[in-house]
Amino acid sequence: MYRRTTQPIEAIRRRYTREWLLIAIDEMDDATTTPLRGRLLAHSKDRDEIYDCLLRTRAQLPLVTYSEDRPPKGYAVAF
Amino acid sequence: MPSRSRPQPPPAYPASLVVYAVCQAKRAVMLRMLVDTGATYTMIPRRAALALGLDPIAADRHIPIITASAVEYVPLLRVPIFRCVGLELRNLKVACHDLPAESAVEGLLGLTVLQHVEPFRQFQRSLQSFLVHE
Repeated sequence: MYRRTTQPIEAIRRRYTREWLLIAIDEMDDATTTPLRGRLLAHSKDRDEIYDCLLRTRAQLPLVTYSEDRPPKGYAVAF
Repeated sequence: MPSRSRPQPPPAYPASLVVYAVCQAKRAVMLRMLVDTGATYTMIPRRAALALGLDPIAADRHIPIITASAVEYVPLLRVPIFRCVGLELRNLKVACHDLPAESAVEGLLGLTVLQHVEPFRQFQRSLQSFLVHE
């Protein structure tokens, strides 16, 4: 069961390790476009599952995010 | 006395270069994006575009994008409203392409957006004297 109450986004992200999250945003800092609070709709290790949920959700402003700030340790990037 | 611990590799990118963006068309979606001064276009994933009500398959235009390892042809879509780093841009052209899940971000914030961001313009001006001019 997911918590129905709104929570700080960073608190939701910290609860999970290497998972993709779908969060309904309830409060946002418009000046910086930073999400502040929301409700967790889904979490999964598989990003495709989160996109399946995104295509079904009726949330007004859903956020897709990863629980970690960076790629796995030891990885470098060149996009 | 010098530390004998093995040197740690640098992080793949600093967390300070990750920002949130709101894309809005028929619906709105918020994504975590990496500031990428090497990306011409801002890039969003295909299924995020579908969630917005935009269809990458029906895109009028596909463009070749030079990535680190290949040239990829990707759809170019217009996002009616794009909000990020305090900006609101209308009818922003975005490339539609999925980054690997390991990247930990959903998209790239490219030059089509960064050119409107004053700190980035200041950065460009400060580099001016070092740049190679034709």
